[in-house]
Amino acid sequence: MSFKIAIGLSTRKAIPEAAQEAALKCVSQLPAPGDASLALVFSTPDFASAGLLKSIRQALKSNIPIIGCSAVNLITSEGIQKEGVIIALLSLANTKISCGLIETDKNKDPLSGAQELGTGLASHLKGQRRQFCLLFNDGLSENTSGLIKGLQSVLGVSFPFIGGGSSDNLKFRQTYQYYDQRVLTKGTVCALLAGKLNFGLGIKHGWRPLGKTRVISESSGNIIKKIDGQNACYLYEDYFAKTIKELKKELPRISILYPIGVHLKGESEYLLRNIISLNDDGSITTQGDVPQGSSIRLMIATKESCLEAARQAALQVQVNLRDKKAEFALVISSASRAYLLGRQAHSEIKIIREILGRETPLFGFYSYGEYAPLGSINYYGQTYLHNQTIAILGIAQE
Amino acid sequence: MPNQEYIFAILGIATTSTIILLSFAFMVKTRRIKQLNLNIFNLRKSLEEMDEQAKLIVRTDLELNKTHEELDKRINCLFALQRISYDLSRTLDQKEIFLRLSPERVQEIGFSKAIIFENDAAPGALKHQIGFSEEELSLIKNEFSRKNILRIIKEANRAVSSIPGEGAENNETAKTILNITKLDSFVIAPILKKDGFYGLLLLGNASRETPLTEGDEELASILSTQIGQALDNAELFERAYSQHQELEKKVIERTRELSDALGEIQIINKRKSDFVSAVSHELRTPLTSIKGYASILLSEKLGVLPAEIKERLGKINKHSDELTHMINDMLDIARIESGKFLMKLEPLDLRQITESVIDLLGPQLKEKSINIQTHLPPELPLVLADKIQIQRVLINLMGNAIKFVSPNTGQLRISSLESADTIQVDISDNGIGMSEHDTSRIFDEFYRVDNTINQKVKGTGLGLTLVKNIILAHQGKIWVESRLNQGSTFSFSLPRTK
Repeated sequence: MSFKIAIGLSTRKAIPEAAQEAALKCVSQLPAPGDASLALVFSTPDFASAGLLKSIRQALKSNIPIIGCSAVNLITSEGIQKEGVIIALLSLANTKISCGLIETDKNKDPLSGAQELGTGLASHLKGQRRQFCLLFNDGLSENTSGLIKGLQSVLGVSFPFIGGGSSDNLKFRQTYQYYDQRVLTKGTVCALLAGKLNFGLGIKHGWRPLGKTRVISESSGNIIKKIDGQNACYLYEDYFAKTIKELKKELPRISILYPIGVHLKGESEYLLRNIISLNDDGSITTQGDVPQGSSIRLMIATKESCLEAARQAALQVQVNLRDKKAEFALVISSASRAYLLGRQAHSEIKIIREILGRETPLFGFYSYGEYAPLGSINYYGQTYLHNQTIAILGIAQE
Repeated sequence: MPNQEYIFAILGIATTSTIILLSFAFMVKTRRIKQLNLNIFNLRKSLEEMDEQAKLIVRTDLELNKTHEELDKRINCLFALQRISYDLSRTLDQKEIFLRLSPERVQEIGFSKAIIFENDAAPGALKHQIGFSEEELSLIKNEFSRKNILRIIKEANRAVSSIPGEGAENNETAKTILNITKLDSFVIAPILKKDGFYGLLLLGNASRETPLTEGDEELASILSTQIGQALDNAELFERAYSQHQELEKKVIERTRELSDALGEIQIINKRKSDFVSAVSHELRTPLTSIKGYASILLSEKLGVLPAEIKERLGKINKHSDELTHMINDMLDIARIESGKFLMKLEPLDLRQITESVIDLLGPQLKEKSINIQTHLPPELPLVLADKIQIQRVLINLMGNAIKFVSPNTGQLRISSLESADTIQVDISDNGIGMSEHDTSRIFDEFYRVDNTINQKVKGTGLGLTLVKNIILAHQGKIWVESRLNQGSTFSFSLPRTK
């Protein structure tokens, strides 16, 4: 067995007790806890504190790197946890791990900051075969493209990243990232894995295009200025027959349910872009970049298409693992999906378990934005920021 | 130059035909272009139409999603409300009722802040709050009382919320409350108890993320009704409980008073017994002398007496005997009552004792030719009693029976009744009996039934009192059943040997 994993959840109210309970659950599952090489920690926002990480460190009794983030809800094999902390202790015998962070996106050009981080990560793993990079950053950040570009410029354009934006309790105010014993608020944390590892990725959203194709006639970075020569906001005003003021009132709902879909040649699904804000000058701010000249559509989904996407993503993982059984799966699902699915949100987890097998442990969180590579040849497996998407990372024995 | 002409002719024909051909081709092309243009126009039209349909779909879908969201929220709220109701119904303590409305539960029904005010004389008596700071609370308290919010809610008699509705007055109130509480949205419902307006329940949110709906007004009303009912129940319980406590206290008090009185009575009774026994002793000594002297005189040892003196002396002697008898009885009663009387308890065969007493009373029975029947079984279980005292009881009761039956027709019947712990003996006669008034007092000291026989035969009125005291001293019971001219039955019971 080349790797082992232990997952521990606690829903205790007091932070130190919760941290200890979750950590001890992990330790008790591993035959040699000392061999663990990485701890992933996800917690609901109320638990985000240095005390949480300190207590976990104490209970683990080892100096292995800890990375993770805050999330609106947690994902476990049993279903959705609305409160608590979940720890995954990974013991990867044939794999080397290098961790790094960017503390804040202030005072620094995101691109150069990311390049620095990428260089740091790679320098520890020279001569090793790099496999993939886990990436968690502030889900409220608008500078994700610079971050991805910077990392790709060092690690390779086609190098796979998987991760998500940390989330809060749908207030969109502040999210937290965890690195060892530190809690960041506008940071990025990474773990680069190198060595022998059999992993498979699956990524889908289930949103479908609706209405005419339109073209981005003017944009810069993550701000869409004009669509088909008109103010970008007009797209939503026209479709919903509402004024900007009315739209703003319903923005979270409209943004979650009807994102903009960017057509990608050769990809079966459109790349989704959530609206962060409708601006007074008629432009739209999105979470990720939308290049000028892109063909876009308004997107719509149903609960069924959403759940079907989860099924497809899980099937992709299986195909990519070349039909080896996944020993565990990290599930990063968009907070938007939980919102759309409402009371049926747990069905998503159920479907994944049905495909990957009921004994495969799942863990993960609901994110603001997901990072995963695109599959088709046209994009050379390049990683993008996605919205409303479910990204699954499965790891199997070699 | 015919050749040249030919050439021109041919060229002309060729040119003409080319032109004809070209113009024909051009005509065909133009028609095709027109057709294509029409097709493009049609396609564009359908695309535009489809886009219009897409707009309709999106708008409908948005409405549908909103409805669904609202529905989901309602279902979750109802579950939460049901949990709150359950929690509320399980407490009968006023303070606890408010505490059951925990921040978690309030969150579940979609609110982050809550206040409960009681309509008290004090400016806004705060009963419970969630999510407000001390400063905010004191401001809200003051402003609510200054703006008479409680009175407004009381008069409205229904939920008031920040949802813009008809009626400028309502909107004005809502604006005032929003200003005071610094909330983004709120709903207030009056809390009503059986005896009227109790106060108000305010639920609110400070952020815009959870807009209020009409359903929230209903929700708040249901919750406030639940709180009202819980308060009623708690009050009812409190009242019932305090009444119960009061009653218990009274019972204890009365019991104490009674036992005090009983103690006093016992003390008085003992004093009486002590007095009687002291007096009796004092009386007995001179009486013995009187009787002695009378006896000496009657023996005529001091000289022969005239018949009249002898007769008088006989009376003195007889009355002295009666007096002695009476004093002895009184002494016995007093002794038993004061507990100085020591009984010699032993297993006794009531049948044997009864027969010996019948033997003893044989001459009197014979004198009046009384028919006596005893129905005591030979295997009658033994009782634990003092033999001499029980003999006294039987002599007394049978003596009475003999006294009050008519000669020749008189009948006496003695029977027994066994129970698990006692043996009961019934002594029945067919004598003159007595009235209900008499039966109720027959065991009292010095009580004598006023009838012709008693007028003739002297008695002390102490016999039955003594009998009663003896039986009670044995932990037994004694009673009588009798009707005038229809005989009497005296019954007593004694404990069986164990």
